[in-house]
Amino acid sequence: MNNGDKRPLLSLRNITKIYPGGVVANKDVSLDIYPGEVLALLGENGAGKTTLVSIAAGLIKPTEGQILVRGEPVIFNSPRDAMRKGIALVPQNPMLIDNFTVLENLVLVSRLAGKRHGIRLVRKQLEDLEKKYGLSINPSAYVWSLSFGERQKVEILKALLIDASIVLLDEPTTHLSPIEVDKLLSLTRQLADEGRGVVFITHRLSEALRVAERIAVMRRGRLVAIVSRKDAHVDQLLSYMFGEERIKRLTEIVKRRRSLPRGVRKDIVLRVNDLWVRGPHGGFSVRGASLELRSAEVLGVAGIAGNGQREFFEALIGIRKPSRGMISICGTDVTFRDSSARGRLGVGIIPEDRLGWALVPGKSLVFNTVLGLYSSPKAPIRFSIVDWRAARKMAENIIRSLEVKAPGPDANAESLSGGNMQRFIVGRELYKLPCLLLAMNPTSGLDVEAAERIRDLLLEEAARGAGILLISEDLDELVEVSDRIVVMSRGRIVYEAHRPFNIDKIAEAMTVS
Amino acid sequence: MNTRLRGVIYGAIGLVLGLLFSVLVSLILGSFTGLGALGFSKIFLSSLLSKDTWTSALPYFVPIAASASGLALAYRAGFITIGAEGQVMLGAVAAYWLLYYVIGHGSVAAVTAAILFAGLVGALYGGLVGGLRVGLGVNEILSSLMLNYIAIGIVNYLVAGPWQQGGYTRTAPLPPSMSIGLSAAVLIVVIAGLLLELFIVFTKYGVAIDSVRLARKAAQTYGIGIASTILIVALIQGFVAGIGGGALLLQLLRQLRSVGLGGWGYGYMGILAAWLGGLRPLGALAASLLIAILYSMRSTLQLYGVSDSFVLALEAIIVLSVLAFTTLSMRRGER
Repeated sequence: MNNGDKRPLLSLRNITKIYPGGVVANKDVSLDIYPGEVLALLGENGAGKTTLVSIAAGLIKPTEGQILVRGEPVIFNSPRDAMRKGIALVPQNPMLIDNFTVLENLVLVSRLAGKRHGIRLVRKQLEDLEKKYGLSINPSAYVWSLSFGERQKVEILKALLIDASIVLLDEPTTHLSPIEVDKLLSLTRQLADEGRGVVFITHRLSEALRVAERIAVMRRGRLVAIVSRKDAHVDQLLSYMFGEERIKRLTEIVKRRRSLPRGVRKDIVLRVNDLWVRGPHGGFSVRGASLELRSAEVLGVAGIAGNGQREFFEALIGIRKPSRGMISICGTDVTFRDSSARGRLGVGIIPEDRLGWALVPGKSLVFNTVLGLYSSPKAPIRFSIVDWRAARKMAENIIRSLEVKAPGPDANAESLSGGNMQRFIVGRELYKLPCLLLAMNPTSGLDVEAAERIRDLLLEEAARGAGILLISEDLDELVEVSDRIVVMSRGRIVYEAHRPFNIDKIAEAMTVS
Repeated sequence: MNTRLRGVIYGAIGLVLGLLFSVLVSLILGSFTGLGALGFSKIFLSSLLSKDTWTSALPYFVPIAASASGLALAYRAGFITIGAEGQVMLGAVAAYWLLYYVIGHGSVAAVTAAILFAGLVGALYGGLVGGLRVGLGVNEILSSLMLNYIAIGIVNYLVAGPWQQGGYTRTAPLPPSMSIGLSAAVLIVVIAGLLLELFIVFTKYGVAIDSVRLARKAAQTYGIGIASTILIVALIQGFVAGIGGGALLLQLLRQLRSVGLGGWGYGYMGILAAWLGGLRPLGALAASLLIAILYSMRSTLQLYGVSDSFVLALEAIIVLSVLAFTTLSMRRGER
């Protein structure tokens, strides 16, 4: 390594973080970040990457360990302390004030960083930054009106505005299109070439290899290896990330999946015709979408987040009223009917957020079983009376057959890990023996193994004969499980692809509208 | 351990700790009353344990408990109405009207009809709050508060106008035949509370109610009607409060008098009892008893020269510390 002559900008020494409840997120992690380098922090979901940079950015306090900035020990009581030491975090989900304009958000940050710059000066600085880095954005746009990519731009501008010498990018490419990813990676390079130290968090090997000088791999809270790009081998990095054994297991899962029998396609279980749906801010988010789904078919809906998928999904499950158009499920017109009509038809629903949308937090798995089946013919409810014994049996069955790791059916839904929550939800929805399963980002936030298990379940269900509509931001996932993929862009279905998929065409349809 | 059982145990621990803590604070404060800590505690205890306190508490228990158990149900659905006060009053008005002006004689059937009618009027008044919320998005706290003032206005209009009797702003007292005993009144509200508890535990509406409060979007997604759930709890809450008003009239009040802007206060005490009882009808019944006892101790303590406002402060301390300790303890239990 040629960093021997340089002093590290930021050093983390023996950082350990134990959350209340005993979860060890970081265990004895030591890491140096040098000026002028991009360090990729690689690891799967839950490896402790976000916790580590959150500690470096003053968002959370370590249980043990020390932070040094340019060799000098520091204690961060808040992100403001870290900002004043020149450390900026670009979080995975932008943390901006929705009711402020872009400019107002930036002024706020510059104040927090200890600079008493007025709004005019900040506007001037913003113009300079735009020119220098090609980050164009309307400064008087309200944050709530921005797309995800634009919000992220604002976060990056925040870091540049306070002239941070250390920039921490937390999974910055998650919601970006391939073209946007390219732009971001070259921006990342530019930041480092100007002498900044950049930490680039990712769970995508390809990105780490493209952008970084050094790659630090984390697994289960520990730092397992730091390799320079020159010496990096894909196989070796993978085994650092997952461990040998798990790689073997995952390979088997994928192999077994290929040999799954496919069901026979017959009836149309979902027909959407010229559907128009308004979004939360009044404008149309879905503009005349049409599609058809047959039984035993997996139809993937691809698209960059914020192109109307959420509103489309909400209209399909009956919690957002369409303005016009038609939704018909298993031959019944349900366009203007609520979710209970779907429930009676036996539609399975796997929403994007697990807690609060699919599960009631603070309630037992038994309760959540009754909730999920509430309006379905399979509900353990007779004449409005809940048969709690039957419900408990159902919950036990779901836990057993899907191998949900839970202390029992009385366990609080909130206490389960993300993967186990999702398994329980999927199991519950399958209990309805649905003719149609509507799923949105069912594997987001899950580790690789849990995600594979969920995809397996979806495919098994399709083999049984259910039609599955899978809305996902993860193109890899869609390609892996779908029989057909449609692309949604600006509320329209702009492209339809059949197996074998041409990824470039799909990606192009996602980004060009 | 079963989560429900665990919740009950931790709740009970919290209750005991809260009571102990409030007794401690009361004693410290009591030492400033001029009676000394020891003297005060003696008086406090003897008043707490005296039979008079308890028998005089039960008539208050009736409207407080009827308000509280219904409010517990409403609050469980996240429907924060404070309209029990007005519903208790209109329940009393309805019972009086039906018995005195329509039926005109007392019998078991007549009294039963009067109480049910009181419930019906209460339900309509509660349903109005629910309907405004569901149909027009009117905040239930505001609308129910305004409806309470309207109820006070109605009572004051009646006792000073069409129903006035003998030159005072009050109605004629009901004859003894048009009344119910204390035990009957208590039984009515206890049964109502029990039925509400069963309603929550065993019907699908219990699931709907909790889901609507804790995860509205989940409720919506899996086919629970938010509007219908809120309407149902609004109607039931009003019904039970109305019954409490009817029973209050037939047992304790026997006539209507003019009221100040604070109303009778039972509906407001019910709010406290509902939260204190952990938003469970049965818990609300127990909490109502506690509040009723504190309320009736006020008069006993006043006889010993303990000032009214001091007793009021003590009540508040007891209620607050019980609430704080049960919440803390339950939260610990959930871990």
